Amino acid sequence: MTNKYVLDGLQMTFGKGSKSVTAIDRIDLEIEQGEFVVLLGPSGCGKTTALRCIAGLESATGGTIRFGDRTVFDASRGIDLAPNQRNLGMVFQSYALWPHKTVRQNIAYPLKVRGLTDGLKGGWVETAAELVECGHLLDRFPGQLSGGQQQRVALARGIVARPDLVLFDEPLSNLDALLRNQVRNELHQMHRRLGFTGVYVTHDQTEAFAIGDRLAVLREGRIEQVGTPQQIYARPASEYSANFVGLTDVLNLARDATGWRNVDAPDSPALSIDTNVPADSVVVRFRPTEARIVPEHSDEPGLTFYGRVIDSVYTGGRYEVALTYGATPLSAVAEVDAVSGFDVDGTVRVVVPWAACSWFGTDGRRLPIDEPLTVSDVHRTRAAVGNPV
Amino acid sequence: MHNATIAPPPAVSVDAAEHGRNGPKRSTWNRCRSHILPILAVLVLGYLVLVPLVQLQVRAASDGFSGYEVGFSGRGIGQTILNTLFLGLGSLVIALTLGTALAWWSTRLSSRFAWTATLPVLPIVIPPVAGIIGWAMMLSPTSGMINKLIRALPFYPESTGLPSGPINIFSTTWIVILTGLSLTSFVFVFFRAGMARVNHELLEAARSAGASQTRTFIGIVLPLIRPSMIYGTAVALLLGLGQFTAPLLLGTQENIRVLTTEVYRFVSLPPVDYAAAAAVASPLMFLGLAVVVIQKYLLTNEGRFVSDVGKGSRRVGRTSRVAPLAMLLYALVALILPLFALIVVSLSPFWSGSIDVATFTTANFQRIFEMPQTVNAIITSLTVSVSAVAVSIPVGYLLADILYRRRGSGAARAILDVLITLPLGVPAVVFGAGFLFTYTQRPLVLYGTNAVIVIVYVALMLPFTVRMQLAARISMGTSYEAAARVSGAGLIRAHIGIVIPMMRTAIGGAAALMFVMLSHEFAASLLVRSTQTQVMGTAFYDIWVNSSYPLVAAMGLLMCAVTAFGVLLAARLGGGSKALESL
Repeated sequence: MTNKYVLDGLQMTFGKGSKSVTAIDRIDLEIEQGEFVVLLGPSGCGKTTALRCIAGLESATGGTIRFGDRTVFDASRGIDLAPNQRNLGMVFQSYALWPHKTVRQNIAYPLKVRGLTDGLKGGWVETAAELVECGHLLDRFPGQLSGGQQQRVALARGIVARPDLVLFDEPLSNLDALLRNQVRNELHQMHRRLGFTGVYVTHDQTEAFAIGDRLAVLREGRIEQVGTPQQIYARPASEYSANFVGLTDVLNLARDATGWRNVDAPDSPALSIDTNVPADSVVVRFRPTEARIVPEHSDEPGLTFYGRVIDSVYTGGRYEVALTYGATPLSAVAEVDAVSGFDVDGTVRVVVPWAACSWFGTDGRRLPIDEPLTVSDVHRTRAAVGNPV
Repeated sequence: MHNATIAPPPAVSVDAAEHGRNGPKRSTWNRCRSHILPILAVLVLGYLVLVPLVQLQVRAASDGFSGYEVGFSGRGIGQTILNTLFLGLGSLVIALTLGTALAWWSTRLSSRFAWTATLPVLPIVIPPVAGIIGWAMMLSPTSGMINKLIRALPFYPESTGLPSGPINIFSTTWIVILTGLSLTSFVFVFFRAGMARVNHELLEAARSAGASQTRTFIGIVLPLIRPSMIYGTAVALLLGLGQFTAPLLLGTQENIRVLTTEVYRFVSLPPVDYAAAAAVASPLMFLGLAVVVIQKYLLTNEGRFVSDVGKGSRRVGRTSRVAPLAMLLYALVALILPLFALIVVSLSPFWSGSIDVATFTTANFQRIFEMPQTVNAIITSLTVSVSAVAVSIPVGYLLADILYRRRGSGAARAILDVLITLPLGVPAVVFGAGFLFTYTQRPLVLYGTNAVIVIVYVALMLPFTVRMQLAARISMGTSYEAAARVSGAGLIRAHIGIVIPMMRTAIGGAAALMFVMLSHEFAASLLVRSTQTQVMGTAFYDIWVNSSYPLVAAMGLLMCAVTAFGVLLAARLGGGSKALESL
């Protein structure tokens, strides 16, 4: 007996023949009981389609979906259970609260249609409403609620029948920034308390990091990388993942007789790189927040180069500086006291700690380069200990 | 527990995964299931809509196309075709000009006069037969009120002989003008709906970029509402070409003929020639078919709605002082004057063109209620209209679901879409003739029963019931239904508990509007009626042909009253003009 939720070779093609569009191109994913998995990717990467296939709202064109021992979808055998036969809960981006029903009727609906009279009599509706702090709203209509309240009610409706699997389709993207963080944290706590299995779709990496036990980064209908938020944050497996989790500063380096150079800055001095790099042409990526402008004679270790200042923007506590390194545009940060040392068009020294650099081959895959234990790794270890899974 | 589930042995699973991508092992039932309903719908609608049109062609082609020979060889057929084109194009020009202007003005009303925006829609609720007779009472050459007024003007030249003119409503020009006026409401509804969906910020952006109000309208608004414009124009042209009521009521006196009146003449007046009627109807039928198909090709069904979607803002830019005046003027001409004429005439013991309040009497209404045929007609009208609406709503709901959920194959849906739109493109008279031929012979001999009228009405209402409910479904989106399904509700339960209750406003509005249109229905009814089965429109026509003006006016007002009831119902159910806009 297994309790895993399994997507096996899931495929989804819209249309036929030459006009067909592949939304999902073989997704394999195993989700443990009680785990919260986030499908992360830009719009059009197939994440929502995958979620809708899991829900049974759309029929995939290939592969299988198993909930534990139950096969809910199998293209080759013509098995395709209807959404109401899959025992799940779902929270929609648009909330989808039925406007002609009160909050109480909305939350009670999954119990009613499933015939869970124990739940109806046993106060499950009230419990769910209390859990999302909407107990006082039960007799109102959705139209009388704010966006945040509506989304909380939608959450309550998704979990009230205590389904094994709860699906979330970008549930927070219609909320404003402050409220989004708040509801996100509440959702995280709720998952810890209730222990349901969750699949959550979003394009927002911060949201994904905060909520997921594991993330699956999707690219054009395929899974690019699966891992814990800490793994993906610290060691993105590809340039695509790296870009998606914020490693947006890019240097194309090539090795010649004299050493490593930025190919877009052929006139600048060679870079000193001690690490043993198993290629002659690499891409280095790092977060703009890790690239620090330092005084000219600083001896901080790390990838060090000189850039020309284009502009600087005060972001509170420090500056965000736009630079060019040869022809490469970069973004870096400067502490307030460092700013006095440079002007627009001036040249500044930039250091990126070695641990903050991710190395990729020209094929876009991560290069196996020895990295010392980083701050992020320490976080990961700590988080893993505290993780209930 | 896991004994009950359907876990495959691994070997089969791998094997199936290898071969199963294109589904050779997928059960046949599963593949067919989603096709059953659409194919059934195509068959039923095909019988309902297409068979009458095919019957028409069979008749026309019978006996070596003799129908075409008779139909198109008569004296004056060239003039008839010219009249038809003049009627279609002339009324289109009038309706487009007035309708566009009114629609544009309606977006520039100050909040005090916002209510006037509904005025141009209201003439739709006056039965066309009654409206036209109202005009005849004002503009008939001898006893028309307005003609009398003009003749009484001091500078009007002394008449020689019988007092007559100067306006003769029984002329091609006035038939075109009145048809144009009645189509104006239609164009207005289409264009206003399009304009209401244009985001006001787009217009403000043009204004702040330096464009004048007029330039904004021409350069921004018109291109943005192009889909509604093309569609509205095409439908208005077809309606103009297929216009029957005004030419029949006003043209008979001066022997002005158009194709639709020729169809009626061949069917109803001796020498009856069904084949010739069918032949004469053919050009209109093929034109309607062509327009419907081309329109489907140009603007795909979903695309039309999606491209128009956007948050229309309620905010009015600069208001216009002319706008409310224009609205009121149109309402005066298209609504109040004809109604006034009907009321005055219905209260007069006889009609001479002069208003004499002292002689006003309700005797005409009493006489109407004493005539068994009118009472029967009212009962029949109510019965068949209500029955047809009761059938149309669920049929439309089902069809809208097929189109919206993209059930079945694309080909089946495309055919369905054309079948649904056909009754809007093919004139009601032509449809009526087709139904007459279809249901006077086996397998279904229904002529002379109420059932045949109900069937005709259901066919005529197809575009309306489907479009209105489809628009409601589209604006509702899929997520409410999906939420019900994942909550555990089965397909039928989700529809009954969630989708239908959420659409009740749209359904109610559609029902009331269809009732209004059906209780007016004249053109198709005139062809399928029998001596036992008369509806209000045909009873009205018989009174017009056989009796006096005051009696006709009383009957017209009675029809208005029945309709007003439907309109009140529509307003109460909240559909109203909103429902119309979703066409």
